[in-house]
Amino acid sequence: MNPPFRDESQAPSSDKAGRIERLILPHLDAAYNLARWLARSDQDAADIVHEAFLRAVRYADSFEGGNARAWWLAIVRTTYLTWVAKTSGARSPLSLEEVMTSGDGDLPADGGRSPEELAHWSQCASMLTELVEALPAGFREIILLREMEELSYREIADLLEVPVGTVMSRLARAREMLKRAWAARQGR
Amino acid sequence: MDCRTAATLLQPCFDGELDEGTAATVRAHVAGCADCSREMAALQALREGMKRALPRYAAPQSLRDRIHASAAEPAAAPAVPAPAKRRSLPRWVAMAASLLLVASLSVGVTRSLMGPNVGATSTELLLHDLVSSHLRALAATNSVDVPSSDRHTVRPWFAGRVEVSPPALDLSSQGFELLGGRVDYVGGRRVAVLVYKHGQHVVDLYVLPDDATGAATNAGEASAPLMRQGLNLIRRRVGGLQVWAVSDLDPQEMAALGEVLARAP
Repeated sequence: MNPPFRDESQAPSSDKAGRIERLILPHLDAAYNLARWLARSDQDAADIVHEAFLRAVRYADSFEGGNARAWWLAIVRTTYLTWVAKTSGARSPLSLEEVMTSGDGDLPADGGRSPEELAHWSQCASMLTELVEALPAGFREIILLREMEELSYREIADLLEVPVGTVMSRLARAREMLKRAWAARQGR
Repeated sequence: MDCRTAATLLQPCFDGELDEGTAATVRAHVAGCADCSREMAALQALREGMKRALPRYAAPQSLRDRIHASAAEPAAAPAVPAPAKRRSLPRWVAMAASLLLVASLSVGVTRSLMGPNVGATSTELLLHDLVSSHLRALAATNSVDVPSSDRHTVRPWFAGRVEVSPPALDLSSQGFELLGGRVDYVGGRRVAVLVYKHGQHVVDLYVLPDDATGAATNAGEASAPLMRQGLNLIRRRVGGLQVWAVSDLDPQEMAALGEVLARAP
């Protein structure tokens, strides 16, 4: 249960970097995937993950064993936020205000579809990629963490530093927006 | 269960976040309700669609090489552009605490947060964990995993779920009504939380092993409760265990609760 590196806190920083590299390497694809979905660009995703790695080395002492993937993904996400602020000068794209006000008001209501109709989704699901990419970042990340990374509500809450109740309402809204956007594409 | 209640529980049920009893009730409702079963099918279709359609991007080899090169050269860190503004210490401590919380999530880490030489800081981290856990539970729709006012139901429920079973405290004569229990992560450990109601106030009692972080210090042992983020925290030893009470009760009432706990068998 105890990670093998637990007693290396006195090691020089180059060893620390190697230790973090071994720690995050199994989760490098997950990190790149998250960054790629958030930043929507190959080059930016690679830069973000690289910078996140350097940041992880600096924060190495804050990792004390346990779920390395959640620890590492939280750093990737923070790095993404910093990166957005630096490149665009804009406020955080995941800020609550945007999440709360970004509208789905102009989307038609989900008029209630039968399970048969809905099974149709998976056949023409390629459009989903586009729809997920079009979601505001705050909703995009939460549905990815749940459906792709399969994190629990509590893990997501800790990663995003929000209450579990917020995770639940934000996730429900993300799903609702996807469903409505999908219904709109179906020409309703 | 009516539709309105079921509707709020549908997604947590779908995501496997409910306890077995509640989940069974929700599933029973869904089976007999056309609207809810359509909603459930929609969630399932969305999940399957995303699984099938969404590309999972793999890290390119060039990124692996870059990271490996950075790890190999000791001067890696200074190459990062310095942040425009240095984080203040409390912010950093809070962040470290939440990272630790994240880090300790899915594995029952039996290690205290830090070494004994950083007692003061680790107590602050413990207080931070307690406060976050309490606030998170208040914000969630269900702050208990096992709702029951019977301590003889709640106590056995914890068996196998936490390192140390909570004592079967009966505080009803003091006006503390047992609402139930839940498992939470505090100081990197899985601990039992007993949830009580006192008037309009919710009181969380965290039961920690005696060797847990903060035990070595006298924090919370003083007669007056500690205050963090508008909440009062008080620590008492009960039957060889460490019990922390967290609530928005006023300090006098917290001190009175502390007295009751100190007298508990």
